[in-house]
Amino acid sequence: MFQSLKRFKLSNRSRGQSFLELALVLPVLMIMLLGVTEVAFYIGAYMDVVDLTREAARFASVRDPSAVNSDFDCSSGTDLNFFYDTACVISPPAGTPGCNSTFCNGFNPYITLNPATDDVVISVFTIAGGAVSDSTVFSLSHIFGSADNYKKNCQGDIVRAAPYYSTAHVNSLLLSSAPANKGYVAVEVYYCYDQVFGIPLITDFIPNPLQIHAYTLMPLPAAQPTPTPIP
Amino acid sequence: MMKPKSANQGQIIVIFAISLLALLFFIGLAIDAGSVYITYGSLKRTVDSASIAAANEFKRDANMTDMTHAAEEVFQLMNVDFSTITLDLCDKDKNGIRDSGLPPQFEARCPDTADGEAPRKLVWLQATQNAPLYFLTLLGFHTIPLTTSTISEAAPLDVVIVLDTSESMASATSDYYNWLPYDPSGCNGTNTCHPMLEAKEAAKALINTLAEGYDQVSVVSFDSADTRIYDLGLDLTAAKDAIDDLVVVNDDPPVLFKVWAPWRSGPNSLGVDVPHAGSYNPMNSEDLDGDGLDYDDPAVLGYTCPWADHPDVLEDRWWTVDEGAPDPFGWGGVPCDRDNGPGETTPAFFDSLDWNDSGIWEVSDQTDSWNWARAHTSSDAAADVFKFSALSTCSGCGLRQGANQLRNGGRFGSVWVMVFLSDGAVNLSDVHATYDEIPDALKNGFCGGEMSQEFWSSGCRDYTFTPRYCFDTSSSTCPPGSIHTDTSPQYSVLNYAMDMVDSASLTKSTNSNEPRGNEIAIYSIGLNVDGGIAEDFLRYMAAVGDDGDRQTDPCSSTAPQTSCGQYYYAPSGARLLQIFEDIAARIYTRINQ
Repeated sequence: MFQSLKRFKLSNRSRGQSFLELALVLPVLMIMLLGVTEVAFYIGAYMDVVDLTREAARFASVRDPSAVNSDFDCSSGTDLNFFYDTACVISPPAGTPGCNSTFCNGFNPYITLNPATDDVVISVFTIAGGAVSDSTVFSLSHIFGSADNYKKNCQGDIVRAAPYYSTAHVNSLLLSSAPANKGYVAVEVYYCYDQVFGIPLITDFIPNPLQIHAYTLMPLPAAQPTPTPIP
Repeated sequence: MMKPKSANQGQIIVIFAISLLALLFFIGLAIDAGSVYITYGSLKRTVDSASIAAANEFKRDANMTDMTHAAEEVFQLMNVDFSTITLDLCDKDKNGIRDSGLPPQFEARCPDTADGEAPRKLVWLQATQNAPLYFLTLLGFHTIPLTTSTISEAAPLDVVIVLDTSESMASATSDYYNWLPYDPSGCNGTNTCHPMLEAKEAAKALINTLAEGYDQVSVVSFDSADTRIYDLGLDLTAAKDAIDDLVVVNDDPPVLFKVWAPWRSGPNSLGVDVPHAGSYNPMNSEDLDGDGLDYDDPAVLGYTCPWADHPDVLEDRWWTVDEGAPDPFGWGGVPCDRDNGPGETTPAFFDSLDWNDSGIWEVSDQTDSWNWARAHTSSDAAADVFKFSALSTCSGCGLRQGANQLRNGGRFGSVWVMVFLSDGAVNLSDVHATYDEIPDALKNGFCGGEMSQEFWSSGCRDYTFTPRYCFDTSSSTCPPGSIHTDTSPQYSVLNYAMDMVDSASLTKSTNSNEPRGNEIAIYSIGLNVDGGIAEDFLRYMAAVGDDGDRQTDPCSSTAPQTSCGQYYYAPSGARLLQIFEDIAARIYTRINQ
């Protein structure tokens, strides 16, 4: 093909035209190619976050939600703080950037939570008689000194009043045919994904950073209802 | 052939236009591939969660329909279509034989029980979801079906049920009175002892939730000693039959009611009747010097009963100050019982109990005591050395036997669980004869003491939960904060029972030298216990038994007589059924694949 192209004798005018055409199509081409790459990065980040929620939920599902104390340190192995230690699964591994003294030893080096914008919400539901009888909601942003980051988008605007798994939402989804008494734990991650290329035009339509919301729900036997004490 | 000059004009645009189609095609494919990836990830984690929920239902001995409903709910909660769920079990008909026609991958994992392999509680779950396609929709492909499957496993259970069978377990029976001796043989015969009956029914209900062919169960009872009702095994029906036939309320010796009246109490200098606490050995009312024998050494007692000179003054077995007795304890007298002489062992001269309530010793007191002992032992020789004890709650004995059942018969990979029910405070420990780690010199186990002193004056109860004492050979292996000792007292029956808890369940300690236990999950039940030391101990049991760590106590700020963590408070026998069912529902599940 190149050989055949060489056979053409191009005039200055045609060369200029070609450059002009190239100049016109190259940005479009680049936007498309970079856009596809950006989407790939985004999907990769999304899958990472989904996997982390799954691992965190599985960690929580075999532990006792009543284990709550003031141990907010992922590296201390002595005391189990059910909620914080579950969130620790989503912290960066030791020795990676973003790891700090109390939020470290997690699984994935590619997802580093931003305390100012990101959040991990862990909700425990006790279901008795086919309805939520008790629930506890933990927001990691409170530990980080922020306030309910899960309610906001990555631009700081309030966009929701409750996490995805609220008592009302869970109640609306329970099946009457399923066992009446059980416990569930839900792990939700609200992660602001910074676009790698920040491609002009695209960022005019798709916010940068873009929020990734992923969740996993698991059975939590330890949250099943206990007998109501008789006075 | 086109002319080069004219062809060059707009060439890039043309090439780009053509390339754009290909580029858009690949971009469309990439987006659809992303959609497929995301859908598959969502489906996979939903199937994982749902299969755990289904396996969880093994605890309720659920059938496949119930398990499917449990899985469907998780799909619903995860916002995934559940209409394509397929669930399977190794042995749906529970006949102990692996079913035929299982999916090949699942069948390979299901044990061949007909060939002697141990059964496993595996659940196979498969689901299909249609991943939406965006670009390929233009070509007529709207969705692509994605299918995934997983196998989850509910760990097989090795469960030991430990039941208190002391006489108070008949306290709600219609003819039971707190202040009269009680013979439970009547209600035992008709199976109408309450709350024992409720405890038995609740224990059987718990066994009903276990999976036949998968789970093992053992039943142990304890009163003054432990009894193996059913050794750890797979035959759940036999275990329930054993509960019906062999779990009976113990007939405690009527020491509290029959011991000589002056030994119990008497008037002080003001004429007010006051207790004579510790005037006899609560482990053996014939043994006033604590050496395990009927003969009491005057050098130990501190006085010599005038059997030789004035046996007439001891007809009521109480030597008063007026009759010449010393008064070392301020009781206005001292107890005296007849012995056969130094070194004698058999037969004991049973005269510590005023069996016929006449106030003076008569031959019938001896014969009635021996006859009672004979009726509760297997031979004349055993009756001769019977120890009349006022006590019958050896919680440490039940814990030791329960843990041993799991140590000896528990399976690797199964979850070890102990359910412990008691209605009273610990007041006995093992002795050398029942547990050879205990020194033979401690004839009364860890109910040490002497006349008027602890633990005789407290009926062997240790009312001080702290400080905790440690009886280990070396202080380096003691629980953190405990005080090392080699005497009883200070080491008590309560300390012994706590050590039995640790040896069963403790896995964490700040003392790296402290021996670790067997990671047994313990659920404790206090049946109408007060909020004192009895409940403190049962809560300790639950605190260690939930995570192996005595420092993490879910009950630390919970009001007395309240359920918390793995401790359950039952105000009456009527509550036991619900509690046992709840315990059955709280046993963990683990995923295998």
